[in-house]
Amino acid sequence: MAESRTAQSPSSVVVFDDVTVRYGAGPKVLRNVSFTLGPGSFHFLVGASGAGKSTLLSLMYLAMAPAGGRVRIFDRDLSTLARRELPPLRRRIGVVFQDFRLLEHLSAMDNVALPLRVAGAPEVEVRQHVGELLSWVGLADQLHALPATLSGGQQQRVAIARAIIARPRLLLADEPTGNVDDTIAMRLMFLFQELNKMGTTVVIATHSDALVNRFNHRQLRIVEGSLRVIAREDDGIAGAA
Amino acid sequence: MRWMHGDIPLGRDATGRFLHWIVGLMVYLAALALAGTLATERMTQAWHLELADNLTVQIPAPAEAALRGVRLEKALGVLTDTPGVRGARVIDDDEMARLLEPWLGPGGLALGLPIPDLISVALKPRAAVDVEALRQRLGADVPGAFVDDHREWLESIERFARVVNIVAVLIVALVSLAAIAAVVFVTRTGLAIHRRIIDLLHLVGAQDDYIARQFQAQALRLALLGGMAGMACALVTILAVTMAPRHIDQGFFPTLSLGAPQWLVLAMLPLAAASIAMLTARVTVFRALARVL
Repeated sequence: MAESRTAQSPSSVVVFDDVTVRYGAGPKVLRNVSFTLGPGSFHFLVGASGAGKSTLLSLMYLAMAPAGGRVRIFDRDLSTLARRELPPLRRRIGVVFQDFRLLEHLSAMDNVALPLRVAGAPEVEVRQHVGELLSWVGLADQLHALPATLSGGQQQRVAIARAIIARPRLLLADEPTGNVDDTIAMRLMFLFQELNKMGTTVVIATHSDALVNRFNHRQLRIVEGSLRVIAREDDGIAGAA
Repeated sequence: MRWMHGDIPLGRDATGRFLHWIVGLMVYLAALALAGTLATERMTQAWHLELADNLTVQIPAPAEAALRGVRLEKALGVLTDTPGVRGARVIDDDEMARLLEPWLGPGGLALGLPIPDLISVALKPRAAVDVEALRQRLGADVPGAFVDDHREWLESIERFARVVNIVAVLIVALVSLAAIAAVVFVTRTGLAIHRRIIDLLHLVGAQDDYIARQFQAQALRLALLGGMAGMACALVTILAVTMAPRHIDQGFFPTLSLGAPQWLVLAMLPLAAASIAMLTARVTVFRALARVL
């Protein structure tokens, strides 16, 4: 019952409460991180290389659990969720990985189709939607191409198409414009903004100051494992570390 | 049925390529063991049916040949007066010669050996004949007469059939365990090789069942392929074994053959092996994935 309520109108998309992460017995990568992302907000996640941006994203796309503190996604406390309850949450999250993580043996079309197929969408619908989206990102003539035959920028667009094909409520992108020229980068940013306007909460990890300065969104800045929120406009953030 | 092709390229795994050979060998061995026990069981049942309503009475050859006819008449008289006996007939010399031919060769009777007379006694169906009382009466009227109700012989055959059965069950069990171990090994190796893909599938929202279906489809395909090949080889072997004694004197070898139900059981073996492989792969995947987030 709780899930059906949160699926319709979560009061918050992401809530971190005093979250700490450490790998093994090493030092804390993230320490006492607290913040809240409301529905329809847009944030840049910034910080030096190795600051913990990817770790923070991993927590948000449910690839790892924190060593301490609480993480709530779509109003669900991860510490209380059973394994079988994770896939429905993950289907509402789109992720653009820094290394794309395309499946090398699958065509661009089949890579993009993955989120729909694991959700059990009818094959006709899958082919239609994937074809349309790949055309939109400029890969209409590469539907059946294997990732190895695509350029870095084309692979990145396939990865982005896979992240948004299922219309996620939360989009997490790790350096999504790192391998494309400025024109494509701008086009992708406008795509993310369009998704955001339709209600998707967007978090983009980047170390590009130019990108951050060009778009007027709040920043989640990680410095030495701690998170600082730099507000620009009121775009839905409700709290800060 | 797109998932039969799968997002995980299991068909390219080197370990997976051996699975159908392993399952094929397992099915071959299991089929031979099963065929052995089924044929033995069928043979035992046939002998049981044939001998259960029959007795054989042996009348030793008397010292004086003239007494032979009298002793046989007395024995036949006792037998026909016995409740439950449908009829009794003396095995004539021609039939006796045929029975002894495998051991004594043609014209064995002419050798002058002291061969006893045999009386074949037919019992009424399911008649409860008191064999012990019959023995006593015959012993009194025809000294030296011996009643063979085949019980001892049938019990030996049944003991043999039980041993064959136990050995076959053990072989099938061991072969099944070995096949299960092979499937577990191949599945775990596949999980390790494709860890990165499986992690990605999880991250885009795949349930464990979605991943398990791909492993079980691959196990089913390979096991079915191997099982059919193993079964085909087993059929050739079984046919060769059942055909071979036909060139030898019938008296030495019992007829080992399979009926339609037995062939049906054997035909199910590849399906059973494939089902076991599929189930094993599924359980292995679920158990392994339960340990990851």
